[in-house]
Amino acid sequence: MDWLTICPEGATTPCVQPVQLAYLVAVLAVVVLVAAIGRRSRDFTTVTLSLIAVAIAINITIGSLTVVLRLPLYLDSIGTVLVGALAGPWAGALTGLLTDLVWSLLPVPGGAGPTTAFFAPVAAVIGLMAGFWADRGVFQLRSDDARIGGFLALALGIAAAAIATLAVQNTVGLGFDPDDQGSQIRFVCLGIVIALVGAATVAVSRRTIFRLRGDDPRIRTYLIAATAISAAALVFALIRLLLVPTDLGLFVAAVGAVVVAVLAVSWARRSDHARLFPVWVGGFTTGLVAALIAAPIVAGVFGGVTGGGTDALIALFRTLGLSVFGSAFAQGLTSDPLDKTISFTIVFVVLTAMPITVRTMFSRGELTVAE
Amino acid sequence: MRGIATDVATGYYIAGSSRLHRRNPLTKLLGLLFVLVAAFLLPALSLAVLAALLAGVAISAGLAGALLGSLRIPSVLVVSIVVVNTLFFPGGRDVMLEVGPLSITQQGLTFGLVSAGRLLVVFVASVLFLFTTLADDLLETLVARGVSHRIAFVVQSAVQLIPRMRHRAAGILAAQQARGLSVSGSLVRRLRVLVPLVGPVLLASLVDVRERTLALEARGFGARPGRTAYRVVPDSGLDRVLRVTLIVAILAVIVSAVAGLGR
Repeated sequence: MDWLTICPEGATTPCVQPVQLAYLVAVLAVVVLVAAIGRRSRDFTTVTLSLIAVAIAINITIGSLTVVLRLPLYLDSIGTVLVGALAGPWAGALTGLLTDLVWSLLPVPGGAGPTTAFFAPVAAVIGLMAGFWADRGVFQLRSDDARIGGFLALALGIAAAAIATLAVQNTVGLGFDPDDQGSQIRFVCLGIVIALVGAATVAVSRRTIFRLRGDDPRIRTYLIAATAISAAALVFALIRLLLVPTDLGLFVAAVGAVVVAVLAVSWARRSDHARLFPVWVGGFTTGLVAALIAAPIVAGVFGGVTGGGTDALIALFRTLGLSVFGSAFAQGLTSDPLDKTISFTIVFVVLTAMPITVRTMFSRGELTVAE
Repeated sequence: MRGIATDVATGYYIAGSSRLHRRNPLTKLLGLLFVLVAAFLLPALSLAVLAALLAGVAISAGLAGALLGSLRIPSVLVVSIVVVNTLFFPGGRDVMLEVGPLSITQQGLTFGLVSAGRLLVVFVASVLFLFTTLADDLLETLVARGVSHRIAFVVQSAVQLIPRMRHRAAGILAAQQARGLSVSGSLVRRLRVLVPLVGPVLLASLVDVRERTLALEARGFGARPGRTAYRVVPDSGLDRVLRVTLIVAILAVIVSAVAGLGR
């Protein structure tokens, strides 16, 4: 095992670059994931299997519909999320995996043609995440449920991590040079610090302000406020990203954010709309994880480019000084969370509209979906 | 049953009886795996050898024309890989040419060409595999080799469902357009179109799951004993020799890549 020595700074003897090691670990992780899915798939009932087949067809049909409608979204995981909710995380993972393999076999527009199979691990993890969130009740919670506290704490943690990232970016910078050992270590350390800030915020707020009991009238208020703040933040970030960073752009973004916040409050106050917030937290975090897993695939297999209109974004991020991996990840961060949030919302609407005779056929239909 | 949806259900398959067509699907799958591993693990120069090899295989199978036609599928992606990397490469230092505010760097051009070449080689290999292999034959072979027939059922029924569901989606789209739904216009407008389209497609297909499950159970899908195959895929001595050779070649590529990791 002599070759397995991590490069020290200025090394002259043969050694392994951390990037190469990371790819090796990633390949092993994919093999373990596929093996685990294969093992779990033996226990699936006939209903689950025919649901998976239909869900694969749904993924590919709607995923190719976005080409017809010229939408800058993928929408190729609605079936995966549906299976995750109705039949559990492993069934969702199998759906995602097989969707991308089948898409490789068929001349259906959308996807990446016969090379779509490279994204199969991403789709599998989306299925796992959907099953995980369905188990936590995202498709079931009402806006007066005490478990909402956990979701509010998580959303606050994400916000804290995002603010920490911005702070680091504007002070010491998040640059990353693949040839320089020191900058790689600094990058990883900064990443760990940011993740710790997020985790600490989640832990503290869960035990203090978001420690809620059932029937607490504050839950609804918090939900409405959280909906408004996240909608405003999203609009602000989008406008800032798309417009050139000028003072006028800042002003337009601020005005847009305030308008959206007011609209979101009036929308969330009506009936039970605010209960969608946990669904969005689930979709958003799934999108974050999907972007994180897709980025090394885009960087390593596709030369850091996806072949869609989003490549303009990749070029933009590179002029801002990001690496091949960094620009692919940043592009994923701008489209994946939005895409998965929309997919989760669509699945939520479909689940609530589903006839009870169909819903009760599936192993978790009763557990994860509310009336 | 297969007559209903042959256009998409047979995929990229082009009927023929060349040597490549007659190989066992598993042999061709191993060949594809070899090209994949070699393209990404061997030095960039090996791409030229692989490309020549694939071109020879395509010509001998009489698929050169179809192959050239299929190259338009990844054309946008390949152009994008080369252009974006040539102009915006993070580690680009040696400027070859300045065009206004943009500069073409040598590192970027090399990285873009190598990435595009790798992807093209893998794409050509997968298309040759898909041109000469029916999904039915592939699944039948895999089930005979121990892959669960349940997984094979899921893949096969998804493959047959897709054209029908796309047909249904097109029908719903036409019906909604006849009621005045406009599918052009601004982004927000096109996003709103999704609601009256996706809803009916999803709910109708979920109700189908019930029917399909009952039909499957009534035909003993979950029954325990082993099954015999209706389709028998031919497997020759040549195939066995090729498979052993390919497995050895794949292992050799991996070993040489791991041994050369540090350099």
